[in-house]
Order: sequence, then structure tokens, then C-alpha cells
Amino acid sequence: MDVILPIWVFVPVVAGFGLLFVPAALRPLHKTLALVISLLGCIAALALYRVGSATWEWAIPVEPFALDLLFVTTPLNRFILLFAMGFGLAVVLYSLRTAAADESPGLYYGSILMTLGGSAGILLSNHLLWLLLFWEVVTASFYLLIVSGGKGCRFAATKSFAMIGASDAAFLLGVALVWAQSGTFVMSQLRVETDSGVGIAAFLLLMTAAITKAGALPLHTWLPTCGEDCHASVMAILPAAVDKLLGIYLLVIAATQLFVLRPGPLSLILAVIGAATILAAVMVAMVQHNVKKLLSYHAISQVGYMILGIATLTPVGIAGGVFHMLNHAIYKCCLFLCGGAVEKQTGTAELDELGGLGNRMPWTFLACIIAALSISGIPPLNGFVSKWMVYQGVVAMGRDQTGAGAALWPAWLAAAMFGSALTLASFVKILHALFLSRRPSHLDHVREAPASMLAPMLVLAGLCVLFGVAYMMPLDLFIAPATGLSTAADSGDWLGLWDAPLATAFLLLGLVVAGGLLLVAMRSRTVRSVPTWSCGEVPPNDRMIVPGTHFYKTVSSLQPLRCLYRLQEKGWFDVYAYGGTVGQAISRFLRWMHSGVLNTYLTWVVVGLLVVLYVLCDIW
Amino acid sequence: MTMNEILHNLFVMLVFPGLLFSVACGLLAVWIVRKVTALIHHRIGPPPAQPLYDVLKLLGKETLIPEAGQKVVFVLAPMLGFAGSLVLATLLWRGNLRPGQPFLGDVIGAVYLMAIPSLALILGGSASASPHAAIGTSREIKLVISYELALVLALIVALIKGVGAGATLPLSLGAMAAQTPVWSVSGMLAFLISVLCVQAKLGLVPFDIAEAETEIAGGVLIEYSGPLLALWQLMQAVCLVALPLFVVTVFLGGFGHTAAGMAGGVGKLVLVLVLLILIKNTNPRVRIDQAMKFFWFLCGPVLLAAIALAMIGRARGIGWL
Repeated sequence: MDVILPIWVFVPVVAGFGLLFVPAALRPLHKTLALVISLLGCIAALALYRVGSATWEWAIPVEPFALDLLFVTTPLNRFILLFAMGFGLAVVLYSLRTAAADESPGLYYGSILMTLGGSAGILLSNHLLWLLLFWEVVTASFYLLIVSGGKGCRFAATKSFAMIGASDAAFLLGVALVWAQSGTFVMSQLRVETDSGVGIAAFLLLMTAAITKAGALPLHTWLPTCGEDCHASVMAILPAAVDKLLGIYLLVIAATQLFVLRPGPLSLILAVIGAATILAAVMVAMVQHNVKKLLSYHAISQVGYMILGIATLTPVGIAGGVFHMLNHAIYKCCLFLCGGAVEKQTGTAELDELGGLGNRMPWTFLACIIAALSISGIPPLNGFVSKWMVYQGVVAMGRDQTGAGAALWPAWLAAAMFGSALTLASFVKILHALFLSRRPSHLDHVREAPASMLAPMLVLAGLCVLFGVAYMMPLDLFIAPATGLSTAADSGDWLGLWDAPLATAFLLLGLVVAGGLLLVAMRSRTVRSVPTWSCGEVPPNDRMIVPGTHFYKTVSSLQPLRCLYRLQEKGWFDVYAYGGTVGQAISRFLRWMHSGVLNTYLTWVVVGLLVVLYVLCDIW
Repeated sequence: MTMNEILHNLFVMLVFPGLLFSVACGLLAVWIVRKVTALIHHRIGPPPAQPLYDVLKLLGKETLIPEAGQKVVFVLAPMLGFAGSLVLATLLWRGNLRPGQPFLGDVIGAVYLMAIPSLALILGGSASASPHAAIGTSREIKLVISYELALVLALIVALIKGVGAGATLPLSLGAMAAQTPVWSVSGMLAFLISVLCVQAKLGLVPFDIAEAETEIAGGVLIEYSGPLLALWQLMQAVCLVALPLFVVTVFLGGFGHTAAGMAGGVGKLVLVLVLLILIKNTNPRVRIDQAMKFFWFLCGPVLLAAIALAMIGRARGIGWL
């Protein structure tokens, strides 16, 4: 069984790399290969889950480093792997009938396979350098995946590659510092103390890589750019699902395994990032006009909950953060797929041009409303449970810990709970603008998406319900073994209670009673379909539509917020823009130096030589 | 789950303190609101059973469904709102009447369950294909995000006062009801503002912005009639007791299980209700941007100050802060 680990990592990577060069004419080959390999990946993940632990190693001694390829399964990586493979399969299945892969199927399916293999490598590696290598494989395949969308995606691809690539450099530096501090790359042997400058720097560098991948403030700006330009299925697999799994996985193992993290300045930094990410991103999300861009900002905002949960350093908080990572991947993947389905069936993702699709695309609507209510934390769905766990972690942090991070717990709790209300607000806007409201006349002939697109959405929506109503099941199966949370109610880890099955039963009972009442009342008198009341006038249909994009004009025109929104639109909060400015300044300086005058070059050479002599030989 | 437990839970949900009890209390509260309002207006006011007659009358009318709307959501929304308000009421009553036995959910669950009635109103309004309802929807959700900040901050004041007292489940409603934060400066501020939040959550004047009969002719409810409207009214009646009960539980020390505690609890509930009625009858409707500014830029900073006071009080052991 153990040999399956390297096969699982390398077969998708190699197959994906091969697919890049297979001509587009052989489209069925691409689709079949991608489907088969992602299906096998899922089956292997399930099998591995049943087997339990597995290890595999291949010794590569290169003094003074030990570059052994070590693969090992842990309770944490096993379940993340299972879901990463599941998302891969869902998106491949979804893509079979969409236009996402039409232009360059080799690039599209090839990079999806490489992503899957790379993710398996990241999750299974027990060696930091190999982890970094696979991390780069995923970064590179993400670039290719965006590029597969055609010319319109070039800017998004460059921007994401530059930002994630820069954070990967931080990762490399962090790994080097870890090695300098502890003398090993083997992750299971690492316990780096964070009381020295080197230890703290190493943690911060690794954290930078993790939060850039996951998309937290202030390194999130690649995500909305991609959201605007890329195909929905690209967003669904990477930024929405797999990137979150990988980024938060790295953060969790850094916080709980690689480093010894105690309540203090580092957990304060994490909590600040978490709380700021939740609020800032959701405020921006509310005023977006494009479905995919709006969803991208939520993909950022939700990361805040995960980071905040980890920052609490309490069992229930960390477990809540990890559970939220899983839940978020499920519902955000589903939401992007729904957005993609709407875009494919109607030809637009602009909220202004859509509406009233609920009875035209009922199954998409069902999946979308379940996922939307999940992300807004409406009980008894899954988003509520993991947020509730994070809140308990925050309260427990305030109760049990000392220091600035713990003393500020009211701020974290307020940001998280208020952020949740703002999330509901922006999903109300999506539901109104896409599925409810009134249907513009030109959308009267829209049809439901094909079954191969509906199936992944409905399965994911079903998981949202299942993981909310029976939340003890995923906690017992996946989260608790991986995070050390005790699921017994009286263990002291829990501060509150939520009997989800009973609450669901009560809710259903209430629905049945209300339905019964309605049925009796409606049967006794007639039920009529009538035109909407419009003050006696009969305006044309399209003039009666109130688009959802107008909903939050009140918010964006309130004074202090108005300035912030304006600055945000101008790109004041985009690190990438500043990076660009700095980069241009450097290149201008270099251009100025490369004047082509021999004398200048000679001067520089002599100056350089003197510096080298000074440093090396200490001649003075 | 044994048969006994199933029967017990069915009783809890359908009779006491669930469906029958909550609806009865709710209709009684509606009557109190109308009666006290009438007294303020120097009118006689309706008889106690009038709210029930109104609902029964509506149940006997025909149902009109807008043809351009999303019919399934249009019909399901009031059902969802009613069911959600019942679960909320059951949770809060049980938490108050048997504080020693944690049941169903905690205070965070209660706050999130409170969102379901507003959400149902929004979905129903949005599904009615009416421009008036769409404007109502937009106002309702903006009202939600306005008062939610104040409500969360007020709740945090109560949490600062309560958590750490050594209870096993400090977030459960029983543990919250065991303390009386209102007898402190910060707790009093939080209590007063949370009453205003409840006012907004119930859509009572001056926060009846989403329905605003004189501007948008009922807003979210414009297309509803007959049995569906009856369900909305039942939902609002149940909420009219459940939301004040939340404030009583969190800030005023809840009911307790002694006879005196019960009587005191009813007194507190009526006190909050009367506060709501007085505010309702002495204020004109505000605009949505005014409401938003009020909750964010006035109540917000006041509550931040209250939180700071409460933190100082806790750190220094000064109870009255």
C-alpha cells in the first residue's frame, strides 16, 4: 500500500506535464485521461483513508543536507488529500461540458492534473524542501491554468504568478532559516522555538507564503483579478478550494507542528490579519457588480475566520479554523460552479444583466442558495458550525490566555460576527440579482445547465447540509484526530452547545406545521396567479426590475467609508501596484546605469573590486 | 434517541414552550402592543382576542401569487420564517425555564437563529417580482447589517461580564441568565442599545423602513395576502416575544425556576415590551441611511466605550463598571 504514495504524486504530475504537449485535436484523450486520473486519485485517497497510516521514503544523501524524499500520512493530511482529490474530480466532471477547456484543452486538463499531483506532494511530504518543490509545481500549474483561458487572462496570470512567486521566495528563505536553526528539513523532527529572532523570522516567512496562497490581507489582491478574468471552474478548483486547503494546511502545521507557538506577539499578528481580512474583504465584496469578482472577495474574507481560529491557539479554535477551511472549500467551490453555470447558460456574469433565473435553472438555484446560506452562517448549515467553533475559540482565548492578543478578544469576536452579517448581505444581493427579482425579457429562453455540471454542484451542496446537520461526523472522522480536539461535550474544550440534529428536526417540524396550515387554508379557498401590483400603471417588464447592484449604495456613500471605497478602487490597497512601482524604479535605476559609456562601467568594476577585496581579504 | 425522548421533544416543540405556547404568548404580546398604543392615542383599543381573529380571518382568504415571481420561494419563505422563529422561541424559553439543563443551543446559536426571520422576509420580498418589494428587500438587509454590529457589540459586553465565572458551558443560555449585567454602567448602555436593536429587528417604528406603508406600500410584504400573510403575522408575533426574551436573558438575568423568578421574568419581559411600545409611539420613521448612521456611528462608539469600561472593570475587579 505504501508504494501508492509516490505513484499518486508523480503519475498526475507526469501525465499532466505530458498533456500540455498533446495537440488540441485529441480533445477526448485529454478529457478521458483527466477524468480517469482524478477518479483514481479519489479512490486512492479513500483507500488510504481506510488503511490508516502509510510511509514511503527514498534516500538521497547529498551532504551536508539529507534530501530524502519522505512521504508520510498523518490524520491532518489524509483528510485534506481526500477532499483535494474530490474537488479535482468535481471540477474535471464539471468542465467536460463547459467552454473553459475549449481553447487549449492540453493546458487546462494538464495543469489540473499537475495541480492535483503537486497538492498530493505538498500534503504528503515530510521534508520541507520537497514540500517547497511541490509548492512550486502548484504555483506553476496555477499560472498555466489561468493562461489556458486565453488572451484575456494574461494580466491575471502574471499578477498571481508574481505575487505567489514572491511569497514562495519568502517560503524558501523561511525554510533556510529553519534549517539554520535546527539543522534538519524533516518536518516530523522539527520543533523550532519562536523566542529567538531567527525562529520568529522563519515563522513569519512561512506564514507569508501560507497566507498568500490562501489569499489573506494584505497579499490577497491576485484573487479578485483572477476572479474577474478567469473561467469559473478555474476559480472553483484553485483559489476557492485547493489553494485554501494548501495554504491553511501550511499555516496549521507551522503553528502547531513545525514551530512552538505560544500566545504572544505572533498569535496577535495572526489574529489581526484574520480579523482585518474578514472585515475589509467583505466590505469590498458587498459593492461588486460581477458574480465571480464578488465571490473572489468572499474567498478572501472567509480565510480570515480560518486564520483567526488558528490564532486563538485553543483546541476548539484551531479545530474550528480547520473545519472552516474544509467547509469553505465545499461551499465556495459550489458557488463558483453555480456562477459558472449561470454565466454559461446566459452569457454574462454581470449582476445588472441577470435576474429571475430561479424557475429557469431550479437545480442551480437550489445548490446556490444552500451554499450561499452556508457561507453566511445560517444554522443548521455547515458554515454556521465552523464559525461557531471559531467564536468559542476566541472567547476561550480571552478567558484563558494573557497578553495583547487575548486582551483584544472582543475586537476579534466583533469583527468575526459582524463580518458574518455582511456576508449574508452580499449573498442576499447575489440571490436577488441572479435568481429572484424579475427576469429580464432577453433571459426568457435560458435553460438549466447540463447534468454533468449540476451533479458536482448538488453533491457539494449536499455536503454543506450534511456537514452542518451531522457536524459531529466530520469532526470525529477528520477534524478531531487531526487537531487534538476532544469531541466530548464535557471535555472543557467546548464553551457552548449546538444540537444540530435536534435543531434541524425542530426546523423541519415547524415547516411541516406551517405547510399543513397553509395547505388547509389554501384548499378551502382559491389560489390565483396575479400580475404584480404596480400602482395601477402597467410598465414594460424590464422597467420594473430593481437590480441588486443598487442595494449597498447607501453603504458606499456613507462618509468615512466613501473615501475608503474610492481609495480601494484606485488601487491604494494593492500591494502588487506598489511592488510594480518599486520594480519600475529599480529598472529605471539600472537603465540609467547601463548608459553604454565604457568609463562608467570601468568605474563600477573598480569600485566593486575594491569592495570585494575589502570584504574578502580585509586589506586595510 | 429513545421513544420517551422523541415524545418529550415533540411536546417541547409543538406544545410547551414551542408552537402553541409561543404563538399564544405572541398574540397576547401583539394585543398588548395594540392596547397600549391605543391608550397612548386616547382610544379604547381592541379586545384581547383581536390578533387571533385577524389571523383566522386571513387564513380564510384566497391566496394571490405574483405570476412573474419565484413562486416556490414566495410560498416557502413565510414557512421558513415561521419555523425559524419557533425554534428561536423554543430555545430561549427552555434556556430560561430550565437554566441547569443545556438544551438545543447557546447564545451564539440564538443570535444566528434570529437572522432566519429577517432572511425569510428578504427572500420572500425578493421573490415577489415587485419593485416595491425589491426596495423593501434592500432596506431590510441594510437594516440587518446596521443593527447587527450594535447587537454583537452589546452581546460582547454581556460576555465580558459573564465568561470566566466558572460555569461549565459559559456560552449556554442558562449561564448567561445567571448574571445581571444591567446593574453596571457598561451593561446598562448595552441593554438600552440592544432594546433599540430589537426594535429594528422587529421592524417597529421608527425602524419600519422595510415595510414603510406610506412610501413603498408594505415593501417586502406588498404581494402577500391571505394565509401567507397570516403566517408572516404569526412569525412577527412569535418574534415579538422571543426577541425581548433574548434581551431579558442576556442582560436582565432571565427567569430562573422559582415562582418569584417566574413572576420577575414576566415583569422584565413586559418592561422590555413597554419600552419598545413607547419608542414606537413617540418617534417618526427614519430613513435607512439615518438608521445605518445611528447604529454604526452612534451606537457603535458608545458600545466600544462600554466594552472598554467592562474590560477595565473585569481586570480591576470593579463590578459597577
